[in-house]
Amino acid sequence: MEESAGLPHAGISTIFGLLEVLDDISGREDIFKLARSLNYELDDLLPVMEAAEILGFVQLEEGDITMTALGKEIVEADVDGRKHLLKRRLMCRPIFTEIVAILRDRRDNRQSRGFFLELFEDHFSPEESERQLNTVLDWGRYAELLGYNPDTEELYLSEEE
Amino acid sequence: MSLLELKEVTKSYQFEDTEVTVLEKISFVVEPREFVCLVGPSGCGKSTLLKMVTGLSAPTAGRFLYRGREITGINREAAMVFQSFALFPWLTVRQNVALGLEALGLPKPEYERKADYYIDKVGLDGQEEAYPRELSGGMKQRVGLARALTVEPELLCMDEPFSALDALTATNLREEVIDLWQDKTLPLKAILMVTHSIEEAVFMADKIIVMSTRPGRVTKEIEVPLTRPRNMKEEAFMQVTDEIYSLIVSRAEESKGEAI
Repeated sequence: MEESAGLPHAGISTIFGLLEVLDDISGREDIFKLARSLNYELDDLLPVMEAAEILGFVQLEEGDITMTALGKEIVEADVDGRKHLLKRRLMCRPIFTEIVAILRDRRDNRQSRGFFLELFEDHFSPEESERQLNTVLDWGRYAELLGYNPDTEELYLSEEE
Repeated sequence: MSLLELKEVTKSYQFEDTEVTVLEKISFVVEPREFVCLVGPSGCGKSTLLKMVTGLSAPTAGRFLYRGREITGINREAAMVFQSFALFPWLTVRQNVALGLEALGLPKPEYERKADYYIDKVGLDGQEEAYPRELSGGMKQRVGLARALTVEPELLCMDEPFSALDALTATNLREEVIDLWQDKTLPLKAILMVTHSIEEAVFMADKIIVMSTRPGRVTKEIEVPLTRPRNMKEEAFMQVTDEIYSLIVSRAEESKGEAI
């Protein structure tokens, strides 16, 4: 897996919530002020901001967080628009392109959860590997890029892929 | 005609030899296309009130009218969304959402089709097979919403639906609920929401019913004169919120004065 730093652990709802808050204040705020105004510990807000940044929705610079044009676009989109935009952004992340490539390689486009956990465990502890995969699934499922069957414990590609 | 009308609704419980009145002479209306918030401190009977609106319990005195007719038994035009999501952990998203329709006796292909439609509406498309334990709080509440919307209610009752969510997820879900309410393709007409947050009420509601506690009484009915989309950071928004706070505080001080 290329992304040895791993994904920041933030659910998709918190990322959208952050963008909506920023949209309300014209797209830019000092990071400390933002945390205070949300009654958030900075430690808890950081992963959400980092997630938004790696997805291209905000920029973090000199203590400020600024919404990008893409961030504005996704916050104004409807549910389908958000999924579409998110899917495009996920396909720019090595972790997702690798997983998609692995699944495409399989005849039925399916692969076990255990397989991916083992790959993650080359870079992360077993606990962190689980968390990484959960974040991948939180984002990937919402974007309708990936599917996960909890009964068979298999990841699969969403139909359109 | 109002969609929902409460006329002097009172609810009391017999507790050993005393009678405890939880709600006293509650009267208000919900019009079609109205978003009404009930705001009040814990213990003012807001949740009890919602239960009676859905027909899950009956008042001790007073009447509930839905479209002018007395509610007796389960109100089929209303559906509920809960603070703690109330999902069955052994059922998938689709099974949880379809439960109400299945219970109504709809054939499987039909209830699955309807469930999938509303699962898509709330953004859970692609997660129908997931179990609640795999989902974040925000996703779980989307399931709760889909489940309520699937029975195609005219009136959505929500009991502190965002209180169990972190601030950012709550922000996200609030906007999505407003979008669903404004979606003209849905039969949903009105929403009655209980919250303890004044900001949340000012963000969501056309009308706020302020309640006092022990017993729960309506102390004030306030129209929210803000256009949508609303912005919690705007001057006008903060002004309305401040006004409501003052009304509640001055009212509380008056009652203290009365008690002396």
